[in-house]
Amino acid sequence: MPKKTTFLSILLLTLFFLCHSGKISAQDYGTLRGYVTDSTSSEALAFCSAVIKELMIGATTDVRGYFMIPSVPANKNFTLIVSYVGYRSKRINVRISKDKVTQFNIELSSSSIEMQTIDRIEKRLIEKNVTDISLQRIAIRDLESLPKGVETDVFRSIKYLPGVQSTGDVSAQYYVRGGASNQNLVMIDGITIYNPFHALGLFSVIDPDMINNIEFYKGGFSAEYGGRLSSVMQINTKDGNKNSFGAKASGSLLSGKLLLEGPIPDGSFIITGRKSYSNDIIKKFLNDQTIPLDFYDFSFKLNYSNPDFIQGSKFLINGFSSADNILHNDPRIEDYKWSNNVFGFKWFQVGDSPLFYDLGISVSDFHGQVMPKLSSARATDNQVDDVGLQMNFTYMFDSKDEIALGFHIKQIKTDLYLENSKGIPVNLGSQAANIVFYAKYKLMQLDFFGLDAGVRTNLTTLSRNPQASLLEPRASFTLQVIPEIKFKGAVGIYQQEMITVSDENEVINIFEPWIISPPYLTPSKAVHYILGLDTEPFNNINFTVESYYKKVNNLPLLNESKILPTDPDFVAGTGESYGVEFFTRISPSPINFTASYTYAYAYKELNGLLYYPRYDIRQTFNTALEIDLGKGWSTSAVWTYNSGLPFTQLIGYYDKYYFQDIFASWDQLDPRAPYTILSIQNLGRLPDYHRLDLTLSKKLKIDTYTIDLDFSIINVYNRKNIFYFKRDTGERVNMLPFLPTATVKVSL
Amino acid sequence: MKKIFYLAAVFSVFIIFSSCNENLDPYGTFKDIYVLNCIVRGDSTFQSATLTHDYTTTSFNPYSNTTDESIKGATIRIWSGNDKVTILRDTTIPRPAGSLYQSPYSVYYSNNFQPDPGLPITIEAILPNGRKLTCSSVVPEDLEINDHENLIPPTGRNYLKYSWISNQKNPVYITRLGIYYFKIENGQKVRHIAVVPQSYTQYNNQWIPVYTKPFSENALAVDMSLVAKTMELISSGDDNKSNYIILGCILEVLSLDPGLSLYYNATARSGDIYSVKLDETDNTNIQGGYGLFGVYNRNYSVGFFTHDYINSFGYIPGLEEGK
Repeated sequence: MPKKTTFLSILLLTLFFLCHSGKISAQDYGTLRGYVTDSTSSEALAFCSAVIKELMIGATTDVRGYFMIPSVPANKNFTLIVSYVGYRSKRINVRISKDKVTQFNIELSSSSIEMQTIDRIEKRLIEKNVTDISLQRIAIRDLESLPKGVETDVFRSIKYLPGVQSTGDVSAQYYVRGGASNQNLVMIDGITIYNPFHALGLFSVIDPDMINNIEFYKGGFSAEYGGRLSSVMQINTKDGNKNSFGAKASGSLLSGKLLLEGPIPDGSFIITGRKSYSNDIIKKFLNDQTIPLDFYDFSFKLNYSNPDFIQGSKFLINGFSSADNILHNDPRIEDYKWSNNVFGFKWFQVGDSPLFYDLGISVSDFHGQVMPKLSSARATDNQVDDVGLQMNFTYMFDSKDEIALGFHIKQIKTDLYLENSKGIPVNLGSQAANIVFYAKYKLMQLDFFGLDAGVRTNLTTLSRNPQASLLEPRASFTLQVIPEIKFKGAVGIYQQEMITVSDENEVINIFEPWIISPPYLTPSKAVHYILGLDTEPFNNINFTVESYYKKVNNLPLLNESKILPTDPDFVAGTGESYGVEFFTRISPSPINFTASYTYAYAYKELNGLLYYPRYDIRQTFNTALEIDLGKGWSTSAVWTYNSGLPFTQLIGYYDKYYFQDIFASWDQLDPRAPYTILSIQNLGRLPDYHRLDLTLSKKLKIDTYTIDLDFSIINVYNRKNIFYFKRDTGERVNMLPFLPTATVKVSL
Repeated sequence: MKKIFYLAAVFSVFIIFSSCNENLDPYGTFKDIYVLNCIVRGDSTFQSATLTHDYTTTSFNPYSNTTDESIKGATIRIWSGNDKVTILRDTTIPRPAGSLYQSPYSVYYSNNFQPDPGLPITIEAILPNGRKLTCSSVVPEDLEINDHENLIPPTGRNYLKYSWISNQKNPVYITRLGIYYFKIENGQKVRHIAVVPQSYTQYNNQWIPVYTKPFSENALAVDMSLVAKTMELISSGDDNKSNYIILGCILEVLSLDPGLSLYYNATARSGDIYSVKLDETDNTNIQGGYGLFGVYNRNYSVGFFTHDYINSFGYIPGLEEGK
């Protein structure tokens, strides 16, 4: 184990004990715990602000809608103000019992003014020392206000965030701070989804109607998250309406959707389903290629909370299933199938003490197949079975410090059957267990300084490579210099043992097969260094700068030099990326304006050759303007600019020998056809990319029905952004052209 | 609000004027690359090779090139073991139909070189400008087909059974079972081969054959229903069955050297039809350039159809029964 890692771990533990011993007396104090929900649906509201007016102290709700404010003077009356964007703020009188946790359930009513903002002073009070560098909290209404393209799509929407790169309009795959797409962890209610894409990566499998909120870490994530090198996306789904039954139906040019929700005794349910019914729009994405694609996704969630059963408990059962099929009638063309199935059970418990804990059991599987039939395609069959058990505990001290501990156990089995270089089927799969214990301490007692320090300990590793890291220490801090300016930073070590057998040079791929990192490869490990500045010089104006440096060792790359079957399928390279991101938000009601600029570099190195990966974009500029026009009308415009993507230049062609018929006599045919000779990898740059999208939305209420109409135009000025050159014909393939789309949603 | 609209208008004008389609030259600096292709046949004394040069085109379409970049005047030698060597001669022949180019096909050939199984073999091409391209391999071992069908259909079985013995390490085989026949066309007997596939599948009222892929096993079984279907298809759509004279059935077994088997798999198999891969890995084993040098050995076994079997399709037997 590296000495540096050991030293960091000891330092973190020492810090924990020092901080723990410093807790303040709770003699005349109590703890206020709040649970904030929507008054209509009783859906938990994440990221709300709660402030005790007289004390000028507060907290933000977590993804479950809970907040805690410790050390509140007991037996005194205070005014608690709870506010959230799009909801009417609520003031309630609170009185806290001594040495106890006093819980208040607060319901907020949706405001008719859609873009109502909360008082920034409140937010500043709450977030003065919150350690949230590189964390984006996204509510579903944030996604819905952006131009939809075909449909609202989580992955397409996050591409507007600074530090998130995309290689074009066509794919929903995203790249975070110079990391490959397989370095991004996507979880739905804490369960990993291995292939979260429909339709060759064009759309995400996550139906936005089921999303309550999203937490997206672009780096520097804390110890409870692991298994990926670059980013974490935690998607928290809705519980369903606890008060009344409801239904939503919507249709776009791509798919039809249905959502049902309603109360059950001591709980609620929600069911969503989406099915593709037209491939016309997909042709626009795929250079007018017709694909017999068919997909669906389905999800459900049941929750049960009965104080007579277990006080303060909540039980959740959720499931998710998605499947894509490309089935051809013609036996000479191969078929494709891929699917995700997820099932989870969670028990969440709050008690009389300021302790939260949860126990979760999860199953996630992915199955992808290429069935060649009579074609010359290589058969592929990938199966991932991931069974997990999670226990998480969070305790808040009176000093506002928090300690969090957890066990995560994963048993993963992968099978990957494919043909080796001699055409003989082989299985690259294996199975192993990853047992992780994590502990972290959040130092929040100092008003001007917050620290989140923890360590993730791998008690067993998936790859069974002796060089695998056992410890992954991480820390992030926030230092408030003056109320308007905060410095933030993070550092951490991250390890990834699940890898994809994907070719980074594929701009469109069917799916990425997953396997456990083979034992001959040391698992890849990344170090993140992040430093940032967050300032709010005026009310409704926010400006942040973040710079990052990420170094990845033992990056598994497909062995392009593999000749013999005994040659390894992967070789280890290194990766390095750094950049600076600027973001500003100006939001005087009814306008919300955001702009971001990223200047970044990304490199990979293999066998002494340094090259830019395909997603190395030097400059990115995104700007979005949303205006609430009143009377149910709203509009938004988004303009995106990227400097050119790297590409490998051609240096010529040669006539390559092909085996049309190895039995044919040598003079019967000329078996040669042109083949492209490439220059040094990714040394050229494509022209710059830019695109303007517009959306106009109208919300109508007719009787008990709510109708949402959206009309969007993608690529308003029909910019011909190049996607790639077909090397065999020289044809230039562009990205999305001028494309008007519309969606209709009817809610009951 | 007015200011916002003014700003939006200015912004729109800017982006509309910046929206023109930018041209891109995808070419880097051209490099001289020489390409040597040679597949040595272990069962023949006739060997050939081609030597060409890379090229660029003014359009981005490589098929727009109409100039054959073949190189003449090079010295190409092949030697096997310690004492066998040949120099391939430079010549041209008429180009096969469907070729990219109209000029004669430039090849190097030798008609007096047969490599010895199991021994190393090397090719060396010295270009007129002094550049050298080389590659070495090992000639696959001969194999002995020890179990085969003399008379078809076999008695007591509804499949044909073949197996062979070889000392080859990590062998890769490609097989072809062909039915040889004459068809009388304009009063002349024209020889044809109908290949018996691994299976048939029907699509749009057509029978589509599925041919065997390379494999490593030393045995092959062919269902008689496939032989029967192939016999049927020989005269598909032709009512005059007596125009067909059936000769016999030959199993050919090619054993490939490692370079050839890898190259064959890389070029004969494809990725899926929807993935778009920009930087494809090339498979070449020529030192100093691009191309392919490979060796294969061919062994075969002849089988004869019973006259009853041939007659059952309405065809004419072309050989005496059992010979």
